[in-house]
Amino acid sequence: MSGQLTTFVAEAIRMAVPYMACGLGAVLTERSGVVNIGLEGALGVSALCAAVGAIATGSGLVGLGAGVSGGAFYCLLHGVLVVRARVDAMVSGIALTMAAYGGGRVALRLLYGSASNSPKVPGLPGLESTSAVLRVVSEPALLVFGVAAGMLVLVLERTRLGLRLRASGDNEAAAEAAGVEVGATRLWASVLSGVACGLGGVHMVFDQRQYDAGMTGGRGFLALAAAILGRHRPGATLLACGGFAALEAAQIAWQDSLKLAPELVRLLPFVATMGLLMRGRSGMALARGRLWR
Amino acid sequence: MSEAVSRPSLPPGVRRGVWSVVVVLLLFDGLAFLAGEAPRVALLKALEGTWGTMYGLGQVIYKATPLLLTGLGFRVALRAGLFNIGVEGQLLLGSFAAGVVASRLPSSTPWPLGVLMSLGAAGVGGAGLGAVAGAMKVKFGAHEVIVTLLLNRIVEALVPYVLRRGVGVTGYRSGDAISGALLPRLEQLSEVFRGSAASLATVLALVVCLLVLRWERSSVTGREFGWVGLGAGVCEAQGIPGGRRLWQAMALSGGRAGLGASATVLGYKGYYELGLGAGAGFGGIAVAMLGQGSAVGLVGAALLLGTLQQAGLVLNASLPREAMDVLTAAVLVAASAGRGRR
Repeated sequence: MSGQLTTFVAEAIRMAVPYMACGLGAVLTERSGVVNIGLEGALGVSALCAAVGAIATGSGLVGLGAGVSGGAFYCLLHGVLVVRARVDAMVSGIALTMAAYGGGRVALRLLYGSASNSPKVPGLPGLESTSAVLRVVSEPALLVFGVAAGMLVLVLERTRLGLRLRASGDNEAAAEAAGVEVGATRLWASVLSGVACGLGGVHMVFDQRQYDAGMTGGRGFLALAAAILGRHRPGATLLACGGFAALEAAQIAWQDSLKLAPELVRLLPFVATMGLLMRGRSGMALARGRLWR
Repeated sequence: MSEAVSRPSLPPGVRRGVWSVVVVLLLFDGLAFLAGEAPRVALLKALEGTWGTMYGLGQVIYKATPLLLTGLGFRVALRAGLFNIGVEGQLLLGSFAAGVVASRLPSSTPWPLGVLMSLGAAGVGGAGLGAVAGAMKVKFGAHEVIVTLLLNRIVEALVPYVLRRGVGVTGYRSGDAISGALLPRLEQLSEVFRGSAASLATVLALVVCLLVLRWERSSVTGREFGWVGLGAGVCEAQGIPGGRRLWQAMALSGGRAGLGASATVLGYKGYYELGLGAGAGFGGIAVAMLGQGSAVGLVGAALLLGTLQQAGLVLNASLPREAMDVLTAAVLVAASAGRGRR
């Protein structure tokens, strides 16, 4: 493979993880009827938790656990606010994103005395290889995410919990009448979506070996758009996420030969999504987030 | 929320306000404690730096002004049933437009005219962006939340690019505004505000607030925005142009948010620079949720959040000022508890 193509493939796989993690998170929570625009915040919080946990103990495994728990907790918090405290889902989502941005910077200053990034994070060891693609693919956080993603999709589509989850989102009154506890199911869905997002945050931190304040860069928001484009089906959503990652990777791989300004290229996924939303049909999954009781 | 409450009740607005202040104080204490500062000392320092001096008060008023306008902007969309997260980007584009127009006008432009033209640019910039989101909603059925989130990002990247490509004097700021486009500072009217950034923009924002609320309550069009929020289909059946009102609400929303530039660009800096007024858009969402429909509520909410921001600057040495974003988020949640859309 030519050098640029190798870079492209490696970068695309690497970039795809946070997108796919949030995209899967969006599918899980929204299929249950809870819209969460705070996934961007959950991604950041889990990245921060992973960094803090790994730095404090020197163990990548602890970092992994901390990151996943952080993400799960943050999404559960959203679920509780929306389902139990009856806060508007949009309000809670945007508030949690704001708190995550602010809280990340506060934590950096208080813990590491830095305004922008953490010290080096001990991650998990991957393969030493001369091939960039092999190195990226053998990143343990990516492997863990791959396995977890498969399991989460199975849960959604093949288990009783998944069925109840989808029923809660599709028709809450019918689900409740059939004996499903809609509120509790939605909280479980929130936790699952937080686990997915959390693995994305862990991967970002382990991959770059540090946490920095703006590292999520709107990927959580784009993942929401991917879920809409994928009509909240896991496969199609993950595919859309891969598309965003490919756009981002192409910019890195062909930076020099492209005559466009880098910030314009970075806009591509956002502009492309706007264009895709114009095809219509995209309206709605978001509007499903009505509250039960 | 709708069940009859028999306990002795404060008006819900007051209860929400008290509840929010309590949440702020508790969280503030916790954060100050984490930062290794005695909560009481930090609180006293924050109070002294905000409401304790005329300078501090001026700063609070300055910070509250764009918040009041973005809050008003968010509110009109919310009444129409739309969640305009784009106020942040709309304020940004409005501020940028105001900065560019104010610096490009012929320097002989007389005073009120320069201000009006710059404000017009701010309003049009914000309204244009809002209208795009509204049109996407009405024409293509794209959800306004996702569209405005994307538009925020697009504007955040485009404005620095355009500035760098020669629209600004440097890569991060516009040229200086001509004197005919500046709003006088309050310190020029009264010595007590010396040094503070507060300007006539605050008076302007208050007038806009009162006029807008009155118009929304007592004009046919103003009320139609609220009816559309209750049911666009019913409105269409009754001959009210529901779709048109929807995108108009988004445009109005963006326009009002854009006017926030009056305080920052025209009243304080005299030019637009990257990051000027950032965060006031999201803060405005909290102002609207907390303040609801009354002028007193909106102004009170804007002052509360303005106080938080200024307190963040006062304490920045020991407690990072971003801690106030966390507090703002907490206010937002506390103000909205129990009022989710059904």
